[in-house]
Amino acid sequence: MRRAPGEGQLRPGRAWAALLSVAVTLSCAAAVAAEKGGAALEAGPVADPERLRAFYTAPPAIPHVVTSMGSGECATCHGDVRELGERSTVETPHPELRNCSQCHVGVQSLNEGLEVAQVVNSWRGLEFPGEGRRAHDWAPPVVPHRFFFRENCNSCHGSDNARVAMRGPHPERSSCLQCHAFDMGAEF
Amino acid sequence: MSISRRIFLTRAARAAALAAVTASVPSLASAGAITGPSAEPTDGLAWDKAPCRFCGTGCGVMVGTKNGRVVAIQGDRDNPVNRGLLCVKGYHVGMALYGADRLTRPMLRKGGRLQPTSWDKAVDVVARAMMTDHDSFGIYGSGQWTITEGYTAMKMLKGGMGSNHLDPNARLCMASAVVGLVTSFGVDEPAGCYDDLDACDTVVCWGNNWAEMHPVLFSRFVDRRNKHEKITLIDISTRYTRSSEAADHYLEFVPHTDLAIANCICGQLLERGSWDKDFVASKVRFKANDGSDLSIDQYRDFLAAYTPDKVSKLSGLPVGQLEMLADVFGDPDRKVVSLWCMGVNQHTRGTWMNNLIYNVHLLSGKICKPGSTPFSLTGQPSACGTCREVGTLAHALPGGRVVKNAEHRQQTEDMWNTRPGAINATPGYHAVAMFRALASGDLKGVWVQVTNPAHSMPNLNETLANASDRFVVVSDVYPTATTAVADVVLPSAMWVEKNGVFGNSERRTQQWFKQVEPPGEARDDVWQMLAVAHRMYELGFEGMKARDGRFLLAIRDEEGREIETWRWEVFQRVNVDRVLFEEYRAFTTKKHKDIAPYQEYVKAHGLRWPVVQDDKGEWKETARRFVENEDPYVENGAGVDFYMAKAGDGKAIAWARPYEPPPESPDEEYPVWLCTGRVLEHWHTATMTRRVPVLNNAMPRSYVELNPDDATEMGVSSGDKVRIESRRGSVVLPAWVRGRSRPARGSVFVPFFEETRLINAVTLDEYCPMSKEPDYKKCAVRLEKVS
Repeated sequence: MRRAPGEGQLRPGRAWAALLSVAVTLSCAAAVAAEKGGAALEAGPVADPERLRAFYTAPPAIPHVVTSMGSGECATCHGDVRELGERSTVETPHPELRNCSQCHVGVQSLNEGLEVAQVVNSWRGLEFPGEGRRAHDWAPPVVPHRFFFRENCNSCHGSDNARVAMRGPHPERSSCLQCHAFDMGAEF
Repeated sequence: MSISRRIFLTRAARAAALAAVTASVPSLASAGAITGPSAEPTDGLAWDKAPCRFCGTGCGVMVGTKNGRVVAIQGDRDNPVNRGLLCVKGYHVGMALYGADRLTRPMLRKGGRLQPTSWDKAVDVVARAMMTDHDSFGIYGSGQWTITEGYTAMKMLKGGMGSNHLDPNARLCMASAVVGLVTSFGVDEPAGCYDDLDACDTVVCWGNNWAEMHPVLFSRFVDRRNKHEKITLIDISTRYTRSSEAADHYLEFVPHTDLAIANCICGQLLERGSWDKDFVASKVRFKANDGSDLSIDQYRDFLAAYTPDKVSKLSGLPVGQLEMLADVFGDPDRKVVSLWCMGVNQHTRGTWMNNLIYNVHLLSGKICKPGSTPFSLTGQPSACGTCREVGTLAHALPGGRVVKNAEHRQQTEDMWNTRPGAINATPGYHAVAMFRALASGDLKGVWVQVTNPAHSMPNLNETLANASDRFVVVSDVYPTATTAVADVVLPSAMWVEKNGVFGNSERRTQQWFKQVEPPGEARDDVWQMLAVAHRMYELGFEGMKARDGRFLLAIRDEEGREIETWRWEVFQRVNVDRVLFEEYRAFTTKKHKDIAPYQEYVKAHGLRWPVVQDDKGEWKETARRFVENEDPYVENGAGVDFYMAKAGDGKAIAWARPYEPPPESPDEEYPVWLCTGRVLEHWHTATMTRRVPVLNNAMPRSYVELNPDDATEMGVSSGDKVRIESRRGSVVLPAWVRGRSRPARGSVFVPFFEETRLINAVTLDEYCPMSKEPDYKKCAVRLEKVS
């Protein structure tokens, strides 16, 4: 059964928890590297994007260490898809917005061994909507969310990082809106 | 059904119900006659608008509710403030309602412990305490009060109890901005608006990290670069921040010397002849610090002490940077917006510093033009709407009136229908004085609403001395440092758990409806005050009687029958907010801050005052004040008219404000500057944001930020524990070096959000003598590596 996004606290799943411990380790290493004037470690764990959101449509948290002071550097990896070994980065769906840190925060940003106070919150966020409606079995599904901030379909539906359910079945086709109409009654 | 249509229909239905409220009150008891403003329970997802609960930017959010709970938040695309964009706090604002430790029952302190009690008992206890000490009892409120909450508190205390000891936490953040505007232009609140960020080509930030504190506005400006617009950001600061990172010029100055820097710009404009001579001749007067008139030559003489050479030595800015600032302001083709917030306001010469920024813009003529304006930002969602417009300040009455003025008192008494002479002519205690008076016993009790002074006041050790001997009532939504010292704790409804109206930094008034029920027995602050006031009335307290002997805060239907709003079951079914808002509206025309009828705000995504009806009966907002064809109070042909000028000449005043040293500077014993402030993820004392997992995980604790060179000299690395000690107190914090920001050498920065490590035990409680706003940005400390 799928967990409601953001249920309880931003509680990592098992896989993500393991990666989180990596993140904290990276964090300390990055701090040391940064203090020595070295480059920050750039590899970050890949996480299920759904788990990084408190509710559907919330901006996802950043699943890796951020040591840069500004936001300009985000575009280095997220401006378009970049291959990092066997993985690839997520391309921003809204390249026109560059002040990334305004909406996206790290899971843990302080570069030290962290004691994070327990936060108990009974928030139950809106769930992902699932597949868009189809007029008949062979019809292309309509887009179940709004276009705003999500102009780049590839960002969520084309990347290797996309959740399987969200991944487009025909990545070779790039003119998505040719077949997939917007459901203007969609809430998002 | 489309989102907009669905919202429209919901609003139309509610509006119809509201319109009927006062007319059909007698049938209130009959089921279903009035549904009131709260959202219909629905299994489906419903969306409605609200302004964000956090800062003074006033972004519009769309609140998604389902099964009686908030489940999602989106930026309101139809709101011109943010056009669909939010910051990370705004996206998660809905989660602030659901912290597990919400206060859900009234509590009374018995035997040293807070214990649950009934509302009836709590209301009775508070009413009796306030009656007993009615003229030595205060209300300490907030820039997070809704407009009607502030209005009710004012009417209850100043109209009913003869006490003027009413002041908001906004005293700590925008009092200097208010006094600056009043002394320069004769009236509070900025002439410009956010549209100027789209039209300008240059922004000058004065001690302001808007990338973290007003991120949506920051993006509105810097995202223009992505569209290849040529824009320039100049950051005058004591700390290299995310805003500096985006800046074209970073000017790092010695704390407090901003006074001299502003004067230096003006001096150069006069010296070079690059000032706007036509504008100055027709729209500006000069005054000496003592209030006497100055000629422009006398003003030029005053500025002779502020040459680039002299100011460079004082401020640490290279001469070239001081000249660059004069180049920018002296270029008639440049469109410049100045922005500032706490760096300028929390300043022992905060009022002067506000005046000086106005001088720069007046002299250069960069004011009241699209893209050119000095613009004072605010930190709380309704510091403007409630504290500044309603006027919930120790010296003020609604709509720009003051208690000292007999005519103003009489007008207010007439409008409130209080007995003549009910309003005390002596101003009450301002915030810092209020807590000093509580410590000394001059004030016997205080009711704290929507704020957390036991965490946020400066020099806390002094502030809280003897607090336990006083009667402290706290209305809040979570346990705080202040509820910990309370005798009575009243659980409040918050944000979309109640109806409300906020006013943001650009004069925009924004209304919202209740969308979910408050938890447990939590109730609206307005109701709490009505209930206590009515209990006083029942107990025979004269002050709560109007001239006709009836309850002073009564709300009546159209046939004059009293609605028993002090009864919770009645209050819930009536839109009291609407009635109080309309009552308050009558006060707003005096200073030409006209607001529209409530119904207009239901339809709009905020309206900027003055809102005046045009010939066709349409309510029109005002983007820029004092400007012909924009502000309805400027006559045709006037161009720009500062029509609220005290002298009646339509001219603004450029004040000759000198540099003077700060009250405390680093010395041998305490050699380091301490600056405090906020971070992106947390808002003020973090009582809300620390309960939002996303935000808490991102910024789990406070820290002391050091300059890397200082850290190296001290042998301190990130994570080491450092004691920060001043003459007043000390705190131990982990160091953060090469983190998010870089303080200037010889200075440290500490965020103030964390409740277990209170940096305000260290800060100074010296304040601006004109605005009474304390300086949290500078004091002298020494550092010691603990481990």
